[in-house]
Amino acid sequence: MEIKLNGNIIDVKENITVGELVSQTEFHGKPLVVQVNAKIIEFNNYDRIINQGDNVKIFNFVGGG
Amino acid sequence: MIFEKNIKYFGQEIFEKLKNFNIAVIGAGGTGTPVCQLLVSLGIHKITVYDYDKIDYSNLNRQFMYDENEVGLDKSEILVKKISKRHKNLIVTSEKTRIDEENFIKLQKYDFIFDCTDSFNTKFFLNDLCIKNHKILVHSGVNLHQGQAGIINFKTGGCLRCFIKKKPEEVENINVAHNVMLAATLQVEEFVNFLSQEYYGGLVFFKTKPNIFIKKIQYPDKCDFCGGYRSGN
Repeated sequence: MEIKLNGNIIDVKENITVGELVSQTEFHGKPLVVQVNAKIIEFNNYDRIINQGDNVKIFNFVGGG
Repeated sequence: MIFEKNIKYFGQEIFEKLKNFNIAVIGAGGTGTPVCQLLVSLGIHKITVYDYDKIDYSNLNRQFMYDENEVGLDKSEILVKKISKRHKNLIVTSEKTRIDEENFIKLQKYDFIFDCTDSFNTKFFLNDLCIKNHKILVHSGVNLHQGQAGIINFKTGGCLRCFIKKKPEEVENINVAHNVMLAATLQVEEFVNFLSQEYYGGLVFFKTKPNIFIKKIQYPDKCDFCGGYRSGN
């Protein structure tokens, strides 16, 4: 199924969770801000299923300056 | 007239506000140097730069207010010396101080505090103390191809802990000139936006690889940390 991740359309498996998606990306293991359809997903809700057409944004929170 | 175009760009009212602000910039490194230049260019007259660090060779790839022959000298002093030359009305001072819980009181007199530091430790420290002490903090963070910037606002709520509950482990930050410039620019842009009626709270996140993607993520309604300190609560 297709979802939008950070502005790009990508293909993912059906019933993928937020946690599974994160683990497949460069963001794995980093402090993150995750939003699905404009709603913040906290770490304890990473089992949330992502649906076809969902708009997902994942950002790595960083501390340099 | 130096700021004729600024008045046309911002309008007289915002320009006057900017001119009269008293601002502290914490950190005279990658983001601190361009932030100071941008604030002076906005027409702000009173800026104090806090940094206890000295210029190192490894800074010169991105901190372009410093030259090779200044390696070993105090960052805040050199930065202030250089930006002071921009125009005669500037009151720019330096403080070779590491801000901690005891001397945070030094920051109470400023209208805005700019976080241009380079560790999670200091960023969360400033975040927490600004919320508790009712100071507006203008935050930015940057590492490699990613970063964020925005206003930490005790009045309406909105802080780093809205998104990241626990201070993350430190990592090595790898920064070059153009990524710190982008973070500094967004930091100053959000500061200016904050003065307008249409502003809404959140952090602007950016990611520059493989393609540029910038998005403002609104603060969630609930935060156990800053929620408790919101005005009126």
